[in-house]
Amino acid sequence: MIPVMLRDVSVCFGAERVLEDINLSIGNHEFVAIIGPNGGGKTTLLNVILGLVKTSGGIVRVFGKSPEEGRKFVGYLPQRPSFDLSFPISVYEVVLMGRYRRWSLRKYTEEDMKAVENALHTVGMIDFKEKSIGILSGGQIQRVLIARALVRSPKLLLLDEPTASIDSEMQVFLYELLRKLREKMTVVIVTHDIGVVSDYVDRIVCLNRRIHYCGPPDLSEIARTYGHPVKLIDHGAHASVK
Amino acid sequence: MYVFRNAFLAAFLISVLCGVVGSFVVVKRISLMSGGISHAAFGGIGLGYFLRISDPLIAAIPFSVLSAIGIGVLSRRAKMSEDISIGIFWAFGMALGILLVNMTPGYAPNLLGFLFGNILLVSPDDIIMMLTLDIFVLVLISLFYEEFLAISFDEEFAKIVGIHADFFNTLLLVIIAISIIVMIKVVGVILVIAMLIIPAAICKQFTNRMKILMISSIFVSLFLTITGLWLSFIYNVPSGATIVLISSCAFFLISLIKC
Repeated sequence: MIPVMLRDVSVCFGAERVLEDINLSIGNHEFVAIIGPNGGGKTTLLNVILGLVKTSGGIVRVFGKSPEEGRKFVGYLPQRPSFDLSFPISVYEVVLMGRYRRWSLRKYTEEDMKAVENALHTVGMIDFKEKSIGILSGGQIQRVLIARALVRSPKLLLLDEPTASIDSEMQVFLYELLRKLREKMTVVIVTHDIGVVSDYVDRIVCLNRRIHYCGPPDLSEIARTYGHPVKLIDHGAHASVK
Repeated sequence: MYVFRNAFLAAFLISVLCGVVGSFVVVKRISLMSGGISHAAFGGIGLGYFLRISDPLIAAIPFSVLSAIGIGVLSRRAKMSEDISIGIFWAFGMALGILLVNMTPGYAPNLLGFLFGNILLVSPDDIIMMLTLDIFVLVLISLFYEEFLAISFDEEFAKIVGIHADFFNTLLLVIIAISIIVMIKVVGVILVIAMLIIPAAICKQFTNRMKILMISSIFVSLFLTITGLWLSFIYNVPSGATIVLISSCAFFLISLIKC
């Protein structure tokens, strides 16, 4: 089953069209980056795949199912941690939440705990497992949240600007991690690091309400589509097609 | 001494809820919403007087549960900020209560007790009702602890892992409403919110674990309630207000030292 299939998808918030005519298929073990200006609908597109945003038209299939059903195969890293950093909870407990199952009387099994340890190992945070979430740095929190997404053994990993709040060393660590992870799963990343990401991904999707470019990370090709240098595409809020 | 035995039992029964439910109120930052629910409960007490129910608090149980559901739904659905619907519910319950009490012929016994609480007036029947509601709340929380923890920590992620967040948010508000009913006899409608949040707000400054927060808040609440009770007895002043004043001062003092 193909991980993501979007056909003629559009999304409106009130009178405003946020996404229009989105046609996109993402295959198994593909590594795809979504770039585009702020407000271009990148996060909304991820939310469509997750089934958290209602579409106003078109078809969304995640592993051949509706997004709500497909969600169990999806790991997700939000753009901003949507929680209170002073919440009394440990790193271990945060990751364990990823193993939640409905209607199970014995809530977490040995297997769940082993999965948590493995996920924390993968992101290099095992030494922090008993620490409180509040004392971690931005980069460490990102790693914990990636572990929380990985602990569900997803087949599709969605990351929304994972490098926005971290230093360049962490950035390299993260991309190397994703390079390893894509052997096991499909990875879709929303990012502004257009230069770095092109060394890692198979495909770049340029999104500004519509998909303006979708293809190999060929920067000159992308620049031609937009009509100005690549580094401007990402920052120009009104980047338009020539 | 009989009176004191009941007072101590009541102190223990409310402290358990202050610790367990109060911790969720504090970490989920819904103290204003809980304040709304507690004031709305007065409408139920007024209804109890109006219907001539021997213990008006019995009528307040379904009323509070319904208003908790109402506040939850309205603050989620209404296209305005949450504090508006909370503020309206807050006053609506009080206004309804005042009108219903006024429309009830004759004298409304113990009305001040419901408003400001009186731990020395807790009867054996009250203790049985409080115990029953305590057990009900504790069973619900232990059954759905993971769900409540998840929606309190990160609602968006809770939805992604398949937790019905709206349902559990509403259930948590219902649990808060029931806890408030348990506490009304002791501290009253107007002061109850203080007892629900102060013990957990104090303990949260010392711990980073939810379960430790709950357990330590129970003991802190017990200590504050009994100290307040003792002082109110010595100086012959209202117990509910004394307990809340002692608790607030403890909170101010500890927050000042910790900052």
